[in-house]
Amino acid sequence: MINKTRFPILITSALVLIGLSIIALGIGPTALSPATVIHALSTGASDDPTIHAILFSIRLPRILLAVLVGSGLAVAGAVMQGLFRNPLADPGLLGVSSGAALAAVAIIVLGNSFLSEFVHLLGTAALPLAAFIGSLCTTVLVYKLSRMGGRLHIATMLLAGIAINALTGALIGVLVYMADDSQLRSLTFWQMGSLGRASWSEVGVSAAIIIPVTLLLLRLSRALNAMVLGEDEAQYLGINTDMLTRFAIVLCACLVGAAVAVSGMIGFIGLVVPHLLRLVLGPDHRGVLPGSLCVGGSLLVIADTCARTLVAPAELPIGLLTAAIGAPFFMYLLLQQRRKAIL
Amino acid sequence: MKQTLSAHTISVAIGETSLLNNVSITLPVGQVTGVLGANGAGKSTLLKVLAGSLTPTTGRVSLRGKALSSFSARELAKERAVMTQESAVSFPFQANEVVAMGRDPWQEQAATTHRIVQETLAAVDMSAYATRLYPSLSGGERQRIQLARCLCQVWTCTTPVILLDEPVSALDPAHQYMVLAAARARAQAGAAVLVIVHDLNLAAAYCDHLFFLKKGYCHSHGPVTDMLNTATISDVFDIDVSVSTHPHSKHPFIIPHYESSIA
Repeated sequence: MINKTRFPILITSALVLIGLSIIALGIGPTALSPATVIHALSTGASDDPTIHAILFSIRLPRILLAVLVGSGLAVAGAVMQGLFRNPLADPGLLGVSSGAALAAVAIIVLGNSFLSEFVHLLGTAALPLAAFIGSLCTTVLVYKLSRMGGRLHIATMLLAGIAINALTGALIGVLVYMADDSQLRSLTFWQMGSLGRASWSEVGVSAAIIIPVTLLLLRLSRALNAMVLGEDEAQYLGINTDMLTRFAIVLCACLVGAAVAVSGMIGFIGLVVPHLLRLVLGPDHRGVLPGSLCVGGSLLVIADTCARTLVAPAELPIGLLTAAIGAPFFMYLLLQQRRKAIL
Repeated sequence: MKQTLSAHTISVAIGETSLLNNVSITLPVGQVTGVLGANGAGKSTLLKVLAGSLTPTTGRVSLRGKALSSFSARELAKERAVMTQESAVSFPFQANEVVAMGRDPWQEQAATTHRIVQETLAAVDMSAYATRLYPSLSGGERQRIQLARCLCQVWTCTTPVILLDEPVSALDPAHQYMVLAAARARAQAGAAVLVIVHDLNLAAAYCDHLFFLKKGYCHSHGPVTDMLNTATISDVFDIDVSVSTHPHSKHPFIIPHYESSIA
């Protein structure tokens, strides 16, 4: 019952994340060896000002952002799957992503007409902030709908999420229909996700949200384990299930909102990373949550490195890559599981 | 007689539908109380009220004289364990991991948990299945694992309250007897046990007290020998029976008259 292999695997996955980040820092139009990267990182300086600028102004913020976004999305996915006791649950399920998408699309399409004052006031921060507000608003709305009877019903919440998703989908459709050609381009790219806008200010803002929220969520693993028995059963085990649900939902909305705000819609990470961890470590959330943090970060670092190098000097949308890398692997694993008759 | 958990004149109504009316019940220490009644009589509702997950519309529930609502969820979990009819576990945990979840309120050493899990698995005859994945178990095996989890939760408590909602509904006869004997052993060690069962002869053999519910009302309650008579049984369940005495145990023994049943 005490998974003896869990700890070594978690340590390994953390080391892999660090190693991958160092390798990724060296990859690009100007190739750098890991030794050069480690030397520059440890001294905080480099002899060559060009290398210094490439490392500290371009690649490091982008890779840190990839780690933050990947970890945040994966942990949010793992927590929501535990909470809904459904391995197919996803941050998109609650309307968090679609709320963010609606707000961002509204800014892009209506930014120089209907919402021009908002855009004027906030400048380049308008779009990320709108995405963040959109995700929080839809989450609160879904939450209010599902609490009508005084108690939180997970089934009702799922259905409310579906309804909200349908509604935001329709509104996005209207906005897309109204959009002109250049707006459509920027809209499409944003909806497919990109870390191309990474700068230290974005790293700072997302780190300030993602790091503390993730640490708080990691503390919920035991309670999430009890939740798999059912809501009443978890309550009989001493878990305050209403409080747990409320707390976890708001924190997940923060995570996804922050991630979507700086990188657009990057799907698949939140859905599949926890699955992979469950297949390797078993379903115990004490393994799945920290594991998702490391593997989610690693996966996005790999995907982003491919996104910025494969068709250089152009860039691929990272959301397409995460799906292209992960989905076939996931299908293979699903087949394996089917053979063992576990799923 | 020492009382642990008791409910006083509780009623539960959901909208216009009344599920329980003016029911009072007390669970004495050291005894097994059987709750019986037809489908929809309010047995599970009563159990939920006693467990604290359903707040009654009127009336109060108290544990050792203190209102149930004054206990925190964690405090309650250390002295009250519940086995519901729900047996789904949504992720492929191993059977022993499911049982170990019962120890969650205690925040104890892993070695202690491990020992208690072994003991409770043995108590429900599931030791051989410890590392099997829960979703791969049969209905009866799952039920025994859920019971082990429930026993495990209050294994180290001297006077726990144990509430079991149809713990033997999927079990073969041998395991029905074994599980109810395990519940009885816990009662003799100081627990107050409530068990919902449908089999009158099992109730006669393993319960001390019986509590009959009919359409949300308390029909009658009392010691087993006073309760199991033809008039009461026919009134509560709408069946005709004869009541004899078991040749060995001397418990009441119910013989149904199948031909006159409501079929």
